Formats: sequence, C-alpha cells, structure tokens
Amino acid sequence: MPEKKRDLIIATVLLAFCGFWTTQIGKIRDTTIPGTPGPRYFPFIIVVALAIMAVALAIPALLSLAKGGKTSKLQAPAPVPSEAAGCVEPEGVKPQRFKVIGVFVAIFGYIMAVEQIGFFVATALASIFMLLVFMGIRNWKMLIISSAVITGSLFVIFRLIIKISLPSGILF
Amino acid sequence: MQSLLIALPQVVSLETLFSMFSGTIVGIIFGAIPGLTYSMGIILLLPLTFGMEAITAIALLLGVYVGGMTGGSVSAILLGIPGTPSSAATCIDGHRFCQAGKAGKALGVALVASTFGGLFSLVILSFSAPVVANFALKFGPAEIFALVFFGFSTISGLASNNLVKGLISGLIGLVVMTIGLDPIMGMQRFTFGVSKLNGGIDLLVFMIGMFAIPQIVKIFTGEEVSEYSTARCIDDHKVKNEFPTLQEFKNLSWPMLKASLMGTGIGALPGSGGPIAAFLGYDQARRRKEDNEPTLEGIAAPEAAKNAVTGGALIPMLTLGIPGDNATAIMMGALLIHGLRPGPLLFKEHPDFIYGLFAVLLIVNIMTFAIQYFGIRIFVRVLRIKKSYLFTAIMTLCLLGAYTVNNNIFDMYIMFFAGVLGYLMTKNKFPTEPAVLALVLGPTMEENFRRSLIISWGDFGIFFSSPISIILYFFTIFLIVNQVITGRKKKQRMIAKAKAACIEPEDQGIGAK
Repeated sequence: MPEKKRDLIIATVLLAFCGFWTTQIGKIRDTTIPGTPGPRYFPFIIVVALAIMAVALAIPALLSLAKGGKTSKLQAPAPVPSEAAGCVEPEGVKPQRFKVIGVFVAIFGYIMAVEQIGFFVATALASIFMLLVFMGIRNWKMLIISSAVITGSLFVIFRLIIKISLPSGILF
Repeated sequence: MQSLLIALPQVVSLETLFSMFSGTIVGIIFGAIPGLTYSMGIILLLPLTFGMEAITAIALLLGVYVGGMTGGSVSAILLGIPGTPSSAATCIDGHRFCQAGKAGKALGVALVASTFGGLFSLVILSFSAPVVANFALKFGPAEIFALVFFGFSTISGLASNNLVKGLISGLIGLVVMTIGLDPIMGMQRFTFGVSKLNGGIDLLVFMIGMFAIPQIVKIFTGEEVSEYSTARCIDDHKVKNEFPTLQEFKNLSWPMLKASLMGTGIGALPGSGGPIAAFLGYDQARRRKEDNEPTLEGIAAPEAAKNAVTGGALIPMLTLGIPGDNATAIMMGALLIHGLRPGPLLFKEHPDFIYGLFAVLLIVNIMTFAIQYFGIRIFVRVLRIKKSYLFTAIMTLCLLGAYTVNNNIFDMYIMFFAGVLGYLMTKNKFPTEPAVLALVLGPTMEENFRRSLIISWGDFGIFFSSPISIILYFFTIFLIVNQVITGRKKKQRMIAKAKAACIEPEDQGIGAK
C-alpha cells in the first residue's frame, strides 16, 4: 500500500481514537479546587493536540493522492549517507501478514502458558516452538540443546543466583 | 573531594568492578551484533539491578552503555553493517579500510578515538554538571514545565525525519502516560474498571515492549536476516587492533577534539544522540577532502563524536531530570527504582553518588578500551552467532524483565500490547523513541503544569513571567524550525558527499540493495 494512503488511514484512525478518548475524558471526576486545572485538563490538551497532528498528517496525504500519488519532497524521507554508501544490514524478505500475526499469537500464547504451566516449562516449550515453526530449524538435537541452554541459564541466574521468584505452574 | 572519597570504596568494591566488567562485555556484544542495541541490553539487564546498591546498578548499566557505543564499530568495519545506528558513519570509511586489508588499523583507530571521546565528555560532565545543577535549583514549577516542554518537543522533532510523525509518537506516549491515577488529585483515569491499571503503565514494561518486541518479530518473520554470510573481509586469525602511529595520532588529534566537543554538545541536547553526532563528526572530518579515498579521520571523527555523547547525555539527565537519549531514559528509570530522583536535588542530597558515577564512567571507559583491545577475536566470533537463537533467548528475557518489575503477570500482557503498538509504529515509519521519552517526561510535565496554575490561581501568565521560561520556549521554537528547514538541506549535502566519496555498492561486494 502506498505510504500516503497508509498515512491517510492512520490519520483517520487517530481522529476516531481522539473522539473515543474524549468520551472517556468526560467520565473522569472533575476537580474539587475551583479555577484550577483538574484531572481532565491535561488529557484534553493531549487529545486536541493529537487531533491537530492527525489532520496535519492527513492533509499532505490527501493532496498527494489528489495529485496522482506523486511523493511530496517535504514528506519523502531522504536516505542516510551510510545507506548511500551501501553500509546497511542486508534486507530480509517482506513478511507475509499471517506470519507476523502468527508470531504475535505465539508470544501471547507463551505469556498465557507462563501463567498456567509456569515460567520454565513454558520457556522450554516456547523456545522449541519458535525455532521450529518460525526459523525452520529441524535439527531436533539443536532444538533441545538450545531450549535446555536458554531455560537452564535463566534458572541458574534468576532462581539460584539472584533468587527472584518466577511464576510457577503445575509442574515447577 | 570529600564526596568522591566517600564514594570510592563502593566504586572499587569487587561487586561494582565485576558489574562494570560484565556490563561492558554485554554492551560490546550488543553493540557489535546488528539488530541488537545497547538500549536493549540496558533494558534486559535492568531487572538484575533491583537487588544491587545504586552505584553498583548504575555501574552495570553504564558498562553496557559505553561498551555498546564502542562495540558498534566492530561490525561496521568488519561486516560493513553498523552494529548500532551510531556506527553507521564509521562504516562509510571503516569498511573500505577493511576491504583494503587494513582492518586492524581501522579497528585500532576507532578504539582509540571512541575512548578519547568518552573521556573528553566525562571531563566536561564533571565540571559542568554541578554548575548546571546549581542553576537549576532556582527553577520553579513554571520553569520546570518550560524545560520539560523544550526537552519533549526537541525529542519529537529530532528523533524523526518527519516532524509530524515524531510529534504524534510523542503524543501517543503522553496518552499512555495519563492512564492510572491522576498525580495531584488521585482520580482514576482511563482504567476501564481494571484495578491493575491504577498504578499506570510501567515505564520499563512499556520500553521493553516498544524497543525489543518489534525487533524480535522482525527476526522471526524473516524481515531481518538472522545470519550473515561469512564471505566478508574478515579472517578470525588475523584480526587484531593496530594503534595509530605517533604521527597519525598527532594528525588525528584536532579532528578528534572537534568531534568530541561536538558530540558532547549534541549529547547534552535532549533527543539527539549518537547517530546525529557521528554523522556531523564525519561531515566535519570529510568536508575539506576532495578525493574519494577513505581516511583515518573519517573513522576517528565519528567514533569520537558518538562516544562523547555518553557524557553529554548524562548532563541533562543528572542535572535536570531530562534524558539525553534512550539509554539515559532507561537509566533514569533505574535510578528512580533505587529511590534516586535525577535533578538538581540529586547533587545536593547524594553528592557521593554523583562523584561515584563520574569515577565509574572513568573506569568503564578504560575497561572498554582494554576489553575490546584484548578480546577483539572473541567479539569477531560472536558476530557469527545465529540471531535466531539469540533472539529466542531475548524473547524470554523480555518476558522475564516485564514480570520482575512488579512480580505481576499482567505486566507481561502490557508489554505485549506495547510491542504490538511499537511494531505498527515502526512499520508505518513512526519513531518509537518519542513515545517512550514522553512516558519518562510526561508525569513531570503534567505535575508542574498543574502546580503552576494552582500557584497562580489559573493565570496562564505564570508560564511567561520568568526570563528562563521565555528563553526555553524561544529555543524550542528555534530548534524545531531549524530542524525542519536546515535538517533536510544538511542531509542532502551529506548524501551527495557520501555518494561522491564511495564506490558503487556492487563493487564493494557489500550486500547490494
């Protein structure tokens, strides 16, 4: 999707958010010191400023789309000299949307698993899952060793040395 | 002097020295590996500091900071890939030295220059900080608001190619900041009936989500490469640091001094950090060169400038409570956790801590020099570690870090949602730094804004009644306008110079775009 179109969508979302947030501001109990700013004041200023900035984001996008998608010189980010010199990290592939969602779902699942089965067991399983599914590592020896090293190191450092208690679950 | 003598036993204690040593090693590794940053290293090590003394904790974090700033030059020179954004300028001439078979010389000059810059800024810090702190004691709520407003607006403006997106990012951070209890009246705001939100969104948890999670997602989705081709101009057995000769050092002295001064000044400006200092340092060093040949000045100047940022960034953080860059923002969080509030009162109430910090910074700079000099071959091997394993470990450390702040699983979920927000922002070219820094500065901004109006019974004139406030507002407008008008021209000039100075990327054998 062209950047300008995306900016326009983001500006619209931000304006909708400002509307929602303003209704929430109305629910805050007002100040008890007359004539002085209460708890609603600062959030209201922020929301107004955000709405103004959203409009400032939308206007160049609208103008650019009206002109047929030509990028405005003011908005186009210039490449930095190191990029011009070729000193950049090699680019990976453009990620498929479902893969991005999959990674986030996996991380969310990891957090839920920590709550249910404990930090160390969840970590051991999550490490194997992430390396197997997302990094495509099929060598089971490497998967088990890396999972054991990560989980073991965390156990030694946080449980034995620093003595921080971590979420325990059904196993330990 | 008395304060330094009080702090010295704690600074030279085994625990503190070990913290500095291990922090420096972690910092160099995080700085050297592209995709990892010293900010991430500081965030991940922060939970380890909870049980430490304040000076030991800050020693660990400063080790990561200085080590990370210095370590970025290793991959910039050897791989042609900057380890940190601050090392991008070093890469331009540094990698070409490597391709010409002079990697050792490039590494040696980078190391000497970065240590020079770090020590120079420490001297400026130790002399200027007490003076600034003394002056800042005169600030009332209106002046503090003006100062924070100045810091906030320059952060938003300078952290981005796009001023509007930078300001939006900062405002999003302020929105997040308002969640929880109102700081003056104690009213619930935006908690949606969730009692766990009464304490607000924790700064550290938010930072981990915004900085680390998007990087983790990029590795796991293949958006960033997880291993590098070893067909680069490095040979493990031959890489070693080669110091500049006496004549070379004499020739480099003036560029390093200028760059260090520039870096310290830029570091002291909230929101600008290593990358800006490094590029300006490079630009200064190369300005009079007409040919395209890489030079030692082109390595020494950006390295000195970026490391000089370390001391410079600590000036506003320690004296005014305004972080100079991301790393100092995180360190501010660390100090708050240890009951030390950065600002002018810190100099009055804990002078031993301040002078202890100066001593720690001195030792850390020397340690970084020694560790990178003797350990260069180990760090070269570290570059070969597959990022897939590294980032799996980092993912678990992120969860751990979020949990250990308040021993609350709810914070892990907050970190997750901050990560989703951070990823969406980076994908759409919104900088994340202003959002995080807004969370740092926001509470001070609101408190002093409302306090000023309470004192003046609602009269807004209080914000313009002091010359200090007016000067700060003037500087705010000046810097933002300057960024908009001149920033683009400067960047275009630097691009033209870089293109004129460099061979085509395909000929360099570096991964072509």
